[in-house]
Amino acid sequence: MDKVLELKNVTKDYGDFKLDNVNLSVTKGAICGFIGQNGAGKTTTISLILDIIKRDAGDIQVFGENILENPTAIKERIGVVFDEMGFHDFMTATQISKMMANIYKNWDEAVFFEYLEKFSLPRKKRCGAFSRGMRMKLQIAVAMSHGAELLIMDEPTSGLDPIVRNEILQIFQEFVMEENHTILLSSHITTDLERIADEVVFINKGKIVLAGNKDEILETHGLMKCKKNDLAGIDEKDIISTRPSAFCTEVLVADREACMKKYPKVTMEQTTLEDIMIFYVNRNTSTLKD
Amino acid sequence: MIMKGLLIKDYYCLKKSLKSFLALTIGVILIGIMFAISMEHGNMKIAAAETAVQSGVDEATAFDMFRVAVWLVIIIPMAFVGNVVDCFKADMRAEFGKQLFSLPVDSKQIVAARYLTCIIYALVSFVGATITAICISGASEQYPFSELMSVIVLFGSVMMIYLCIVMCLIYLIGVKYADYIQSAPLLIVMIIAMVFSNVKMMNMSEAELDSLMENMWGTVKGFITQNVGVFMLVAVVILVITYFASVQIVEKRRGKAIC
Repeated sequence: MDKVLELKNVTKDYGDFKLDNVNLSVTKGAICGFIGQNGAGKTTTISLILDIIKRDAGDIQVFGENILENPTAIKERIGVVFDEMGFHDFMTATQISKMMANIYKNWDEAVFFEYLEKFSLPRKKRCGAFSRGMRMKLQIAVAMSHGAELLIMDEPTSGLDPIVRNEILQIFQEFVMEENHTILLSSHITTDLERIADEVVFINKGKIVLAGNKDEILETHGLMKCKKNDLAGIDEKDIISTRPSAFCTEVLVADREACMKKYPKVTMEQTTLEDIMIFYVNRNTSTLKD
Repeated sequence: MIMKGLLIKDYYCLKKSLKSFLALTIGVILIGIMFAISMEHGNMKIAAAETAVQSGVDEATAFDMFRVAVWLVIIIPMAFVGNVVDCFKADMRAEFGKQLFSLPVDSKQIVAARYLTCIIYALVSFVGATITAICISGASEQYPFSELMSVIVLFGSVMMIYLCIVMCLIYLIGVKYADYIQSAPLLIVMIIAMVFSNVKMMNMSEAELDSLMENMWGTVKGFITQNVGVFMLVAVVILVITYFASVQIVEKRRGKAIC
């Protein structure tokens, strides 16, 4: 399958935080969810992809080209949405359009105004007066009005109410219906990604801990509910991480089918991306057998 | 084309201050005309004549209003300097750095757009100062247009040198220190000028000092007229050097250079 985005052994060291040998790829036409807790390295990774900060090592290929060799041509094909708007408060949507029309070669003002109308955004109101949801929609309108093939979004639904989040997620799903459109979407709101993502990548403390097809990950992982006696009988190699609760210990396993056969008496449940994220994050700190 | 987008953005940043800049220019022109007419035909002429009689010197020496005309024409270039730095502050407040580097623009274009904004604004202030000079010299023969223009060009060159150094330092050190960066060169130059002039004056005899004080303004006018070309050339050289230095800095610091 075509890869729109590939990171190979990308490293960025800040001293107190290190993005360590990150390997990540996004398939063309997919929505890739980039999940991690706050401070895991999602924004740093996105900043490296967009060449906003310089990497210490590794290779980044976007649309099959090294981003450093032709950054302006590559960025023409990328739409970006950040968690903060980044436009000046005194600018109106019309003024932003005038600015962007003279930056992007393929800027389509008609499309931009269509999106403004669709999102009920005023053309001549200063965007400093917009609510958070309106600012996010404005960014999305800008990102989707210059013929972008890849949308890179850093926590676009963070802080939004469920109604606006639902609206925005629908827009993303419509975007990838076009054959050559792809989305990389970072978020810690796992329910959003469960809903729309095709692929997921988990990052924790600057390292990729899990990556793959979302449905496969959800199918293969399972949550066992064990009593203390049962826990002693579980092979440590099967355990990703554990979480004690009042009545039992929850154990995340990476191969649900195999564990169901191996431990038939233990209750096995389906898991969620949120549980998977929590268990992987707590992997090194949890006590395997209390 | 890409730079045009960034210039449009800077124009929107400066739109508000452009209005007050225009009001200042109109105000200065009006004051200049009123002052020149008063020196030719009004109260200032009477005051100069009375001072001359009391001091026993001629009117031009007693009341050298040329220096007032000089202050009037340099107010406008002084005003533009602070306004251009406002572009950096506006970008910082908007956290525009990430947005900027995600756009299909490179460091050369980013810096070139900012320098162009500075040059355009300087030209606007130059036009305003020139109109002021025309009005003042047109209202009175005491203020030759060529001398006022020499002052404008020299002062404009000095302001351009100052602004280029300030912009380069802002890219290097960061926008949040812009206020300190703007003040530092002025303080350093003032201190050097004070020390230099004090040392020079300490080595002069009393007669030489008296002569210097009497002919101070004449000395300054002579310096301006003789060195306009030099300052213009230095301004161009500093602009080119700081541009390339700024490009290197922005390329190295990237998003951090704008915040």
